[in-house]
Amino acid sequence: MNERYHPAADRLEAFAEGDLQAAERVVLESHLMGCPSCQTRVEEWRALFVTLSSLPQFEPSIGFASRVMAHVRVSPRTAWQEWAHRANALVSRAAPKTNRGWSLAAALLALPVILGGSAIAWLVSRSYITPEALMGYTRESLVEGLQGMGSTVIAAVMNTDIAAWVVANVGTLIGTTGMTGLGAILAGAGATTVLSAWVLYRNLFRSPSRESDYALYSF
Amino acid sequence: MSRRNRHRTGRPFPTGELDYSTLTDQQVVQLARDGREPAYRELIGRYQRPVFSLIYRLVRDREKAEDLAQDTFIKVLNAIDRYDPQYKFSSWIFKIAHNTGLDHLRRKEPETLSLDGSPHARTAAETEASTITPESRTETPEQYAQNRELGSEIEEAMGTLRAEYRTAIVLCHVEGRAYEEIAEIMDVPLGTVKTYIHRGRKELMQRLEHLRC
Repeated sequence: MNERYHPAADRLEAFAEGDLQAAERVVLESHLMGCPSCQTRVEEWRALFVTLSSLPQFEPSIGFASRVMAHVRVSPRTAWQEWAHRANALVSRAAPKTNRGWSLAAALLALPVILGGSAIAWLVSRSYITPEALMGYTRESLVEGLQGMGSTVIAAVMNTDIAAWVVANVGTLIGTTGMTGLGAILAGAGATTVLSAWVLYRNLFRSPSRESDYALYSF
Repeated sequence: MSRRNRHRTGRPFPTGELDYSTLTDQQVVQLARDGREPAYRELIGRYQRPVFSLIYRLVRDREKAEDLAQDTFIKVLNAIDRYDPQYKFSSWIFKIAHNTGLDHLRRKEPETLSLDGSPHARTAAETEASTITPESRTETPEQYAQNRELGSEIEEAMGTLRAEYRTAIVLCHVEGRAYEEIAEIMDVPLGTVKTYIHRGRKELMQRLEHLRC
């Protein structure tokens, strides 16, 4: 760097603060070796930083804590407040944090509405399609679709070896133990469902990378 | 033992005497939520000086700063249930302190006062209300102490900065907070924080120029 061309003041400030990339720092160091005026500027910045960091903290007057505590309500949080707080934290974590995030979320929410609305408007604009016929067709299609999907899933599950084994053994168990066996099976299935949901919750919302944030929410 | 007394790692909080000074802010907050008064006092003890100092440097009036710092702690501690642990407790309390100080400064924004009364005054009463009456130059003991506290060249220079620059510089240099945390506290983008700090320092350099050889 030529001595005639001095680095900008903010570069010298960043250098004094140690906030420059290695390459830029090396270039500036070589300039400083031959430029007493820039050296002086850097020293001035450093002196300012030292002065600022040596500024004291001030103490409020005696009895400050007691005066504050006189206006503070100390009471343990109820279970309901605890759950409300968690729900609130969950929502605030899921909510977008930036303007761009909000724009994206709004666009994603608006997209199906716009597409669906456009499709409906186009269909209704045809002379041979009435709104009543469209509603009826949609309802029938939905019911047929759901029924078809349900029967496909049930057939797929029932055709597996595991399902055949479960049906055979559960039938035998209920035959031998009666309602007690059925109760035990239902309780087992319920417990398994709850456990699965809990594992899913822990893995989805309480990942190890954020453990420190939740250190006190233990179960 | 209540399940909330158990740390996530499995280590329980002792039910007897606790050494609060060894706990993290998050742990102390959790104990405060459990209704333990010493946890509240621990949080006050940890933050009364930094919070008071920040507000004092903003408003430059010891008595007012005490009131505002007190308001800050009352707001924070009464809302401790709503504190979101994904943020640092220090960021939260500094944010409230900064906003409380700024609100006060905005409310206080004075109509221009002068020895002859405001030029906008339309009635005699308004003229009188906006007229400064010179008072005795004798300092009270409180004013004397305050002038000593904020009377150094650097503090005087800090007092001339915009409130936002002052907060950013105090948080950066006195409290040693990272730029990212300052951005969170002041609720502005990171680039704005850098600008505040750069401009504030530049103004300080100019104001302190006469001290240089």
